[in-house]
Amino acid sequence: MRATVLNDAALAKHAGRFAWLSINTEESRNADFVERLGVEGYPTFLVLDGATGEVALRWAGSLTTPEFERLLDDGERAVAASGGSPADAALARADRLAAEGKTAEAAAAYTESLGLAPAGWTGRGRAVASLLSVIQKTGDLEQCAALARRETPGLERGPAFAGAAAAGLGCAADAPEDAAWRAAAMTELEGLVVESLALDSVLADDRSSAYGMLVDLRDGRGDEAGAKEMAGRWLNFLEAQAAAASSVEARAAFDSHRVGAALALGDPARAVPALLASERDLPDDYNPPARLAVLYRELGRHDDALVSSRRALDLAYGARKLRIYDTRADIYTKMGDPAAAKRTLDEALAYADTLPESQQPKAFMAQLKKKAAAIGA
Amino acid sequence: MWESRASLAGLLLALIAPACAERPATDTTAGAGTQSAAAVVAGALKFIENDAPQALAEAKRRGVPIFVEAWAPW
Repeated sequence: MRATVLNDAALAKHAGRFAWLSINTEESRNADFVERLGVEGYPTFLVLDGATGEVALRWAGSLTTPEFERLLDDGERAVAASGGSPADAALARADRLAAEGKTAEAAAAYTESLGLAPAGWTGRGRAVASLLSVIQKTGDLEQCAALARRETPGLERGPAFAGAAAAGLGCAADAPEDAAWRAAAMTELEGLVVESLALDSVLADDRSSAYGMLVDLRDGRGDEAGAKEMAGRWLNFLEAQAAAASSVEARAAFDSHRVGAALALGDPARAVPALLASERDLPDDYNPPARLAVLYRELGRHDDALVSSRRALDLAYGARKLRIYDTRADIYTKMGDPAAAKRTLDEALAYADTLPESQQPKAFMAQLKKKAAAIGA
Repeated sequence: MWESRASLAGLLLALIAPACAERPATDTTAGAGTQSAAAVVAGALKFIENDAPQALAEAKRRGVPIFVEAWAPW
């Protein structure tokens, strides 16, 4: 989003409508503010009431420029809790309710907005995606998948279509395998997600996530050849996108997915040159050496992996260091040195305890503790 | 980034995300790193970086809402 939509000169006309705030959620000084925002994924865009600072609209996901402009309109209406057409007003009320955590009421209001929507309503895609999001919070996977099957085929082919298809497919995939509705939902929604791969209007990072999801699904049902085939398509897509990137940062934005695709393809070496280039071009960024450590670990180049992870640890800060420690512990384990692996995990946990409470990733810390205990046993 | 997609892709992306997020994320800001609290220009929009009190004060002064971009550098 930063490298694309937020840099779009077409947004200049909106500059005076808001006070614009960019928040790095991992910086300690932002911890209290971030906790209040209720951020659940990245990127998340929020509109706050300027008088009270209260959240009026929360949207997690990327957007095209026209969708971003629509979000600005929706945000102003959510602050006012009214305005626009009846469908717009219902959407504004729904956004406000969702921001307040009133899931059931928000779902009802989103449904109302869809019922009131005239043909060609530009809010439809986000309303559907937001409704899917609040239904997911209720854990009703069947309703989520059913809504996605009902609404997604009629959406304009773009980001909201892609997101709704992926959300619905996720719900179906997460359902118990013996659920009677699951197989048909999976087939239909997977077809829609595959269709979204070819949509140029969908941001590359979203399409990449869709590729990853499709690889994961094929792996999950034991279709190794299908997973490899999709991983190959995924990596080709990412390499083409990276080659066309307009800056080093825009190119490096594909690095994490390139690593994932290369691993899924069973060819980690294919991502190494890209990561070496990123480390050369972004010498203060911990990400390239951290990812190189993963690749080298998978390639059995343990000494190189340790050197890379050390460079990453020296550059990283905050909670992100923990996953680097975890990779480092795995490297030692693969080298047949459990004592060093255990020491590394203990060091990670000691470091985690020094972080502010709001920045401590509890679930991941529990994983590290379990792993350390298993080694120590 | 829809949550269900996150839950599905999580297994794969958890392998590759060096950050310690409990949700996978796309790397839209990789390399951005820590920035000063000074306002910076992102294209046509002038974002205040990492200073919520300043943004709230500006919003009150101008009588406008606040638009927040919440991101993570990985």
